[in-house]
Amino acid sequence: MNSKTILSNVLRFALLLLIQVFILKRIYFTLDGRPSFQVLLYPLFLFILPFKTPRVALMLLGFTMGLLIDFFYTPLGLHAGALVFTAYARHWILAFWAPRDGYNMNHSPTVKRMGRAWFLRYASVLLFLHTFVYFSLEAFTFVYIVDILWQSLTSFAISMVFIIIFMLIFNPED
Amino acid sequence: MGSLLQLFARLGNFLTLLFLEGICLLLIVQSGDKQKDILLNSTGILVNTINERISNLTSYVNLDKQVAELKAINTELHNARPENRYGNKVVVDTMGISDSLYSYIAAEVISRSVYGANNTLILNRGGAHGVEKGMGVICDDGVVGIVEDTSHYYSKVISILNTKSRISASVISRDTSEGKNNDTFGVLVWEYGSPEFAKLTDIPLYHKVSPGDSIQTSGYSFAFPRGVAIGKIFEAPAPDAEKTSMHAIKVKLSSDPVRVQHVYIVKMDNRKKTDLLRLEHSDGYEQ
Repeated sequence: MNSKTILSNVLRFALLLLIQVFILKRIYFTLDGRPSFQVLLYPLFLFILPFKTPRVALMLLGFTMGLLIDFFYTPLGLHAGALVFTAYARHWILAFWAPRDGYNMNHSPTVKRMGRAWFLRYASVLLFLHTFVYFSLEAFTFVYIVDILWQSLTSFAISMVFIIIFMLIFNPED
Repeated sequence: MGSLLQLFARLGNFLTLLFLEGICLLLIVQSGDKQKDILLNSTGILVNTINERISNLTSYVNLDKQVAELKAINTELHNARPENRYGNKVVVDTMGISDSLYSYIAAEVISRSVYGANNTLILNRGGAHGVEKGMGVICDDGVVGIVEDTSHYYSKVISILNTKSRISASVISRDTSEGKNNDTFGVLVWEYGSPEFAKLTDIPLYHKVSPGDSIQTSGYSFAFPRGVAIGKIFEAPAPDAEKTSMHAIKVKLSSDPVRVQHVYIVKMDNRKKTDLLRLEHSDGYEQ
């Protein structure tokens, strides 16, 4: 991991955080007085960290990012909880779609490195996992599992559009 | 130490996940009103369920104590029954006469002989508790026997299923309109055989009896108050009037001395008993 990679990731961290809390937070539809979906772009930061990032580091970064976002949302800990789990799960998804001769450990799982189809699959699964955990924590009970699933699906679809737009605009290499 | 490090290397990721998620959940519950309510409700339900389980368990542990308490209450109730009172309501109680005629001592059968000809029971109450020879023993279903002998802590009971047993019993007919007399009384004996049946003797033939009539204690002895259940007439075969002048009545016993566990010893008030004895034995020519 060279200094350019570190720098670009730090910048991305700041940029995604700012976009999330100042722009995307304002986009929501209410249904019966409660937001029916939310646009969650910030998990993208975790998705495209380099392959060789240790799992513990992923989780700590996810916790930090989530907590910073949580300061703008209520209650505290929702985004952090979901993002820590997503960071933990990233390892499974990567292992599931590993190429025959393995990943180049110096690269990152981006569109440029891995191709559009691979990235779409990879980001979709992780993002849906993230939205599902997020809305489960938000409801804090599985009594409303249908609501949880509906909110997760709609939020996932909208967020995915934003992720694609982000990747088209910046198209980062690492 | 090495193995501990290995363990952490293997489980480190998972432990980190648990740790961080723990912090997040704590934060959510601390700051989210809705989530806090849900958590408190769920733990409330959990705690209540556990409490209920524990109280179910401890109720089994306390069973002995509860039985003892219930027996104490039962004894009180027996003592309060009107037929166990001397009934001096008419007299103004200026002489300090107690109106208690019979009282009860709760006891436990600790050993027994059954299926023999002379069956006995041993109770865990004796002279130290006020048990004396000749006292009656009953259970919730009816008469059990009569105390034959006592030691300091225990007493021996001649069971109703004993060939030596003699109990004064009266027949209570269901219907008095057909010439049936409801104050007939005889002696209940047991002949070696089935523990379910006994024989009622000394009922003259001119008293009509029929199956189903209930047999109770007559109250003509010191052992039992009047009206304690003994059983029901099972069969009363029409006897041959030329050979005998008495019925041979087969009685189905209501109590089961083979299995009974909790019994009550009937204690007649001592002063009234001696008073009555003196009256019965006086020849009328004294003074």
